[in-house]
Amino acid sequence: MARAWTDPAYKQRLLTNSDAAIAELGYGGLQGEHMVVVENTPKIHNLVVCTLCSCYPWPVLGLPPVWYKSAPYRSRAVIDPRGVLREFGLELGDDVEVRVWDSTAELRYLVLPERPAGTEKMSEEELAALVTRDSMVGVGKVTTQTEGMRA
Amino acid sequence: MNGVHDLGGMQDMGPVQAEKNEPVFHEPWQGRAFAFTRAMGAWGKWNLDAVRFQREQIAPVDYFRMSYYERWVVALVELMLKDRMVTPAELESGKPDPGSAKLTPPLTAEKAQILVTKGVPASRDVAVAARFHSGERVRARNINPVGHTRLVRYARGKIGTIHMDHGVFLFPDTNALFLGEKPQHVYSVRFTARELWGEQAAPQDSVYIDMWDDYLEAA
Repeated sequence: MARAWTDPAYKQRLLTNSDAAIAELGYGGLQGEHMVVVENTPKIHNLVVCTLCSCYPWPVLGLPPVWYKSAPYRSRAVIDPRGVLREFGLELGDDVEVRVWDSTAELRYLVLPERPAGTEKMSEEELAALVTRDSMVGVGKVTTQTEGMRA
Repeated sequence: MNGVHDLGGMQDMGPVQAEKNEPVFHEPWQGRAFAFTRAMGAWGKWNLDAVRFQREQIAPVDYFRMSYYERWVVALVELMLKDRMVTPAELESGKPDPGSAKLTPPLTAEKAQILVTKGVPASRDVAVAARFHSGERVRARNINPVGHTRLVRYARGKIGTIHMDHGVFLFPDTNALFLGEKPQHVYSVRFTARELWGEQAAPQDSVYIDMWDDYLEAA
């Protein structure tokens, strides 16, 4: 994610040929064979769910947390995404379009979060440390206060 | 199958409870359940869709009572019983019968490592014509298959727009029943939240659902 923020060419590859771009950084494998990366902007917020089971991009995010596999999240993410996001501390305005991605096939979705403001001088490595798992599922934003799990 | 696993749009399931600093496994047995499920796949007796279908057939009351990995174990045991890889007597005693089936060559730790990392692509490199194209209006068919399906109930009969064509993939409905892969196009279909949920939904929101060609009709 940090690479995409700092390298426009990489970002382009990540959004258009996600599998190859992710493989460039050494990630890939089971449950990440067919990746799709969707970009958050000030006007678009993406949220990923698997309403039928627990589909999740293992090679890039690890195994899913219990809440992602739970009935409350799976049932409500599609009908009440704004309510779910509120429970994660994210209040979205009416000027923001919410796009929910239900992983019903073998495509695995990953959210490219927005780069936080005030990070213009940060290096890719410093930025990578801010990126959280939740931000890549779409239930959180990256801020300069967050401490990421890995880029 | 219109089972309880098809949760999209249900209400009254309670708040989402996220745990801070959650471990990958809460109990050692969960890690074993995960590894065991992967290892048994090495026999090549079933496929991912068959495993999903087995988990979907857990009785509704048990499905909600069980934890996630309990469902994995129960489904795995059912598959093993069906394929005579284990007998009820062996399950009862916890000890293998001398004559029980063995995988040859046996699974080694080295090979097992690959089972949890190496991808198993569901895409198929075959020429199949796409019935729909980006921007086209489509309707998710109103069908109620009794077997395995990935056509979510909340979208059936609803009208959406083809957002993108993901290419050709095997078809889970037939693959789960070992009736062939029936490769066909999978599309990302955009449904407005209002189309799915009515006036209570925000007019600018939408849900993108991956759908196989067989799930769609022209609208």
